[in-house]
Amino acid sequence: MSAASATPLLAIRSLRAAYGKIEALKGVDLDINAGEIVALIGANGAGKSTLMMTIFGRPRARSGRIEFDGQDITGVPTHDIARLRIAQSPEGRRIFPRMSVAENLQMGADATDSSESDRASGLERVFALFPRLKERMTQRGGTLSGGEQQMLAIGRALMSRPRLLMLDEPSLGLAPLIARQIFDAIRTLNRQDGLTVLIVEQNANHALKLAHRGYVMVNGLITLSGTGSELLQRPEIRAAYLEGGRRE
Amino acid sequence: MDYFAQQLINGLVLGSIYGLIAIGYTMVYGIVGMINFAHGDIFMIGGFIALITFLILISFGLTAIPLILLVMLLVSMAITALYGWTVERIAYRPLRHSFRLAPMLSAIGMSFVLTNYSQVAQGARVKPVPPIITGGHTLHEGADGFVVQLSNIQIIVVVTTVVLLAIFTWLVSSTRLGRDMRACEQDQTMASLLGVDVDRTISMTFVIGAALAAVAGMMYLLYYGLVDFFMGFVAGIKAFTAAVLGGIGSLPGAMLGGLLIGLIETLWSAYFSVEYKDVAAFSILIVVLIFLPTGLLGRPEVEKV
Repeated sequence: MSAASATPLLAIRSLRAAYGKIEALKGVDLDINAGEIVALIGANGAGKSTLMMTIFGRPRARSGRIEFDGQDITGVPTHDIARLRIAQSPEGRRIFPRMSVAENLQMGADATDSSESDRASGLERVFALFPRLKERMTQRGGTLSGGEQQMLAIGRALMSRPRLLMLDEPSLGLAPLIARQIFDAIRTLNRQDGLTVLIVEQNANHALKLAHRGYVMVNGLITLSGTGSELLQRPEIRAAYLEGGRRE
Repeated sequence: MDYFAQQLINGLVLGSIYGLIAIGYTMVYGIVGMINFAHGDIFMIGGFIALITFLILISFGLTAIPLILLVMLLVSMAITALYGWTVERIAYRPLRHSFRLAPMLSAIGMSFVLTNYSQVAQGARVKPVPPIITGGHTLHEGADGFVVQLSNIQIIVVVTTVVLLAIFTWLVSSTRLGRDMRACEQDQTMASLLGVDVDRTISMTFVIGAALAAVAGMMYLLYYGLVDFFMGFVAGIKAFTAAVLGGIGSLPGAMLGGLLIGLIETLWSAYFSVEYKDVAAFSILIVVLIFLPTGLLGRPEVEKV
């Protein structure tokens, strides 16, 4: 089902990871091709966030392999993975609460040792997507509203000029209007800049409409994959994630 | 009034020294959440290295005081910083993911190690040093014959402290290292996702804290004219008190707490009794902690996120 032609930008093979004795990933295979938006959907506790964090080595993979652009990054230290220009807007947003918005964005630029001009054009891009952040530059991250924090988390990730952007529940807790703004921004980034995106969502409907391809995760395993529209048609997806069904 | 002014000057000088040490406690607490009980001994080591450097320079026949002071300062900061780095590397880092009390116990052990190592290496006797900086200024001569004095060494202590604090504040607020340190303090996992080498940043925190403590050690040596292997204990506890009083984790709080402890101690000694000056300092701490558990400039532990 996946585009098997060129080497994928990110290739995950039989990945296992655990927190202590609790196995969260039980052999995950997943591919992301350059220029794609890939959605990862599944219930709470399915292991979606763990997968994103394991790509960064937190926690470390117990076994399996993670390749980025042909390079094995399974054992690379977390801070060096950021330098490969993989960026993440993680679960819970993790804004630095006692840093200004400007400093939070600077942290993103620092991640890839951006030059001054990269930084300036990065800021321009972030402000174009989220004009609200421009007004808030001197404000402390912790004082922003939930939606603004989400914008900041995505903006911070973009400041590192990522080749792969990973977004964990970007619409969580947001008013529908703001959630739509954020989805629009992701689509724009993908179409205009060819940015590759992995998006984790509980809002499966939104995510699958946005994505080129999707994966469904249940209990640490990928159970289904296909194009976004294919998955949207599947009765089991509709029952479990779309029609107000069992969303634990 | 004159007497009070004089005590105020003395208190500010002592407070500067406490403040420089307190910054090391508060910085390490902020970033790794542990009390580095060996920090007082790092201060003591700084004093000893300043003294040894002084004696070496003198034995080479150097007489230019400003040059001697500058070399003492730089050598003491550099070597003490190395001690700070080493202590973190061998005693705390291996325990970072252990249970919460482990690094603290290790710190207490490290404190004993440094104290006894200095005693064995340098001897147990108090090491005096002849006054290196002499002279001063008479600010005011009262009718009763009481003279308010500001000695040159007091000026040097305060000016050095202010300059270092300015550099340090700039470093924390405006440089990449400072930003990385604050990022690690607020969210280590996120910092590492953003390419910050957390281990290296923590090491740098210990290095900077130790360098500031070395300055305090050298100032202590110049001001009191002596060092001994045990001086880190009491000074360390006082500076720790200062850090808690100001709000542990807060850098301006550490300096403010240092100044307050210095003033309280000096004024109490001047007006009441020298014997009970420590009781006064610690009593104030207890009172503040009862009514302001997070210290004067500290923030509540839980932040709205």
